Amino acid sequence: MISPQPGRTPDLTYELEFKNIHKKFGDLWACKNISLKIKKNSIHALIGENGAGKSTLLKILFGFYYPDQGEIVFQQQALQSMNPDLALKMGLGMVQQHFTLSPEMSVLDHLILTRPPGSVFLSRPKILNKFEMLAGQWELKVPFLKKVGELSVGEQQKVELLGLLIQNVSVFIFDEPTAVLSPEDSEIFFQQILKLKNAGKTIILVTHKLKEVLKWCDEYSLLSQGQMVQSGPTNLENFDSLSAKLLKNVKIDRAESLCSDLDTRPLLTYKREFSKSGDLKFQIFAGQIVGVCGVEGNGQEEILTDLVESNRNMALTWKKISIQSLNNDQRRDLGIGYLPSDRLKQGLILSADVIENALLADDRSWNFFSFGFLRRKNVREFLKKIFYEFQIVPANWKLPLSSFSGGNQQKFLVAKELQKKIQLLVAPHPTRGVDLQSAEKIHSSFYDFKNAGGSVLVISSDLEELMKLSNRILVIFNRQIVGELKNPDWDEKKLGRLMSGGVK
Amino acid sequence: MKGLLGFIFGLGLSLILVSVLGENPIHILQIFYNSVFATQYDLATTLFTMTSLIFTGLSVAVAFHAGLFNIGAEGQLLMGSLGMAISGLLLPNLILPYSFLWALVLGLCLGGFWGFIPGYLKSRWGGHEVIVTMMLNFIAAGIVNYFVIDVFQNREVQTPETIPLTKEFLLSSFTHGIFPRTPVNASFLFAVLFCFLFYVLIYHTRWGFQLRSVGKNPEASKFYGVPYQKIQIQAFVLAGFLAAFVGVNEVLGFSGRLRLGFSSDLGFLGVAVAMMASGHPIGILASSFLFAFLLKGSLDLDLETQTITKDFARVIQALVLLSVIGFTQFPFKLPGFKSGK
Repeated sequence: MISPQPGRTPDLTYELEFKNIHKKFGDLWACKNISLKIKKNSIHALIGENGAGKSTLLKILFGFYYPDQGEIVFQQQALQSMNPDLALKMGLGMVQQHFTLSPEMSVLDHLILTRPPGSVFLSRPKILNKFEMLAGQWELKVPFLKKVGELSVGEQQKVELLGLLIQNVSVFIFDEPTAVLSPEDSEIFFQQILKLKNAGKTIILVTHKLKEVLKWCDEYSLLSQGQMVQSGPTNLENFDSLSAKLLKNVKIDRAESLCSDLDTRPLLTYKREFSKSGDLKFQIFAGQIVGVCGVEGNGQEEILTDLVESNRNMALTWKKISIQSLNNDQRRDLGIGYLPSDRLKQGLILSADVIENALLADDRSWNFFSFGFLRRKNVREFLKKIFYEFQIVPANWKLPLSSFSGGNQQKFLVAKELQKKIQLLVAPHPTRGVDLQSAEKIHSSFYDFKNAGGSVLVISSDLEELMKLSNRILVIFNRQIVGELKNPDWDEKKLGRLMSGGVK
Repeated sequence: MKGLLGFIFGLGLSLILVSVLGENPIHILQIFYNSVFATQYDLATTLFTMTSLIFTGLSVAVAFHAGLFNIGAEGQLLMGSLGMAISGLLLPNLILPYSFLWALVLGLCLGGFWGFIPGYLKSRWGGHEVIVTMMLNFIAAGIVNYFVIDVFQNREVQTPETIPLTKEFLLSSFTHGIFPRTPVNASFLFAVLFCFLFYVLIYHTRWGFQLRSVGKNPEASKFYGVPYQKIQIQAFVLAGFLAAFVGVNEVLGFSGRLRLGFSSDLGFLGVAVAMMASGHPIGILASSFLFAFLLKGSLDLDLETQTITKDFARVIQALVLLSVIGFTQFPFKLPGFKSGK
């Protein structure tokens, strides 16, 4: 697993130092006495569950927040009254988890827009030349004249990187860079990061994936509930204790995911003909967790849209009834539950409080309304129950959803959906951008649901998650199911080959 | 709290400005105070304007909660008033209570229809509601002009207005005025009642909740099966109804006829009223009073001072409004208050 890092001769001077950072929001400690040193020319992993204080720490660094106490030292200079612009000028660059790109512009225009090149008049060919040289130097080839929105996620990340490189950034900060990448793209991404490191740059990586930390990072810091838990060089000895600390007391019986006696009648049958590449079809049986894996853009979006919205040009059968022309409300009534694939956009009203979000997509049987009028008491009781069952914190229903961490937001959505009388849960990327502890909770709720006879369709690009959860994994490539693996005969290499269209 | 601070700040600013022009600021304050509180008649006139502003404010607010911008309250209130003004002329022989109901229904239907058009265009084809409602305002003005001047003009007077309605069609046939012989009428009580009903509707019913979720995150509403197109149309129809109630205040409650230009931008002021209150009905009560106060006060300034003309009075209005909005909408903390509201 662990590969020796070439050129691991860290320069011992520290590039960045956080000294006793305190930050409090209301009664909540977002950061409590966090001290952290980041060595120059190293890859430093920042890990911890959602809400551990990682984002707050970085926001303080970039001047979005001011710390209540403590200071930050960058290149032996104490930083004062920071703002994002100044940070960039000083050489601190960040790539957000949700990219900050303008999809309608060409790559070149976007790069020009975000990084004005000094002179008043633009000479496009000159700038293009400059960027092409830079791209050649770092092996970040992107189609400069295409629209940003047409690029793949991996390419978009390269655009973000180019934007930082042209500014001579010396510290690169990535927020969950591989959350949206396929395994191959992640590998490529880390090769690039190594190149940056070898060129003397410093990299901070916010991540949930311990495997990545172990494989690529030199040092790590583990935060929990706003406090520093431990910090040090990455090696196998402290890896086990690390994952144990991250998971705390969530336990799951892995054997549960072994195949149970399957109902032979299919619950759901999906069939759609794509003119170019033939049929896309699969079946889901009761009491199964079915995983769909594949590189993004190979048909997952189509499956999802068809499952959610009506589409007469395909065949969707639910327990022998054709449902392709039913709308999403009617499908819910039949017993299909949905998680949104993008929880911020589709799943939540961020500015509204928990109660209002609970009302969105309520089930009639919960009696949230009587004669159209809100019954707050029923909502509160419902929330009390799911917040307890899913350990969602903070249990304050007056807070807007935006002040919950990603993991807690996702747990809230899963909990709400599983409370309904459903037999199938469609769950795209159920733990994307979610901390390990919450992910475990979500996974165990899926097991419980399955053991009670329900089925889950998990669409994910996270192979590990799929192998852990699924009874069957369907591999999708070029809008076709190119292979199926059954628990427990997992073969990561075979999956990888199938995903890239290697074998039939 | 912040609003009051903003009001004082804006007023202070205006007073400095008038003293530069050579007026005594104390005198100006007196005029402002007197214009609202001096006599029962003054207060009643202010409340009369306030009533109309509550209706248009609520009209804008209901669309606002659905994420829509209703610039068309002006057209909707004109159509509503037209319906009420001509109801009694079309069927003059109706008797109570059918006469009044007929006037109400015709007015509300026309107003509601004027709201339905942008709502339908928005949800069916995505026609932008701001453009549509703005255009519909002009169309409504044209239609009203035609009916008032060319069809139902009252020949006994020189001003453009319709033939007055008979007593059976008026609100006063049911109720006695709050203050006799003043414009304010029972519509004021309706308006206040509507604010509370509006509050219940928006914050305590399924429909209100769906309305707001469509406004705050249309994507999520769509994903969770909220019928957002239906909601958008309903919101606009309701907005039309509410704006049409200005007709109840003006035509059925007070003058009994439609006089061209009676509205003097009540519909547009409704936008400001609603925005200042962030769409909250109780806030609308306060902001509509503030607006009515400023409208009335600046009229009197024009009459009672030498230097302050009608136009300059508008400057004062704008200064006070801008500071109230500035103080209420900007995120800053008042010392001594935990969370400024």
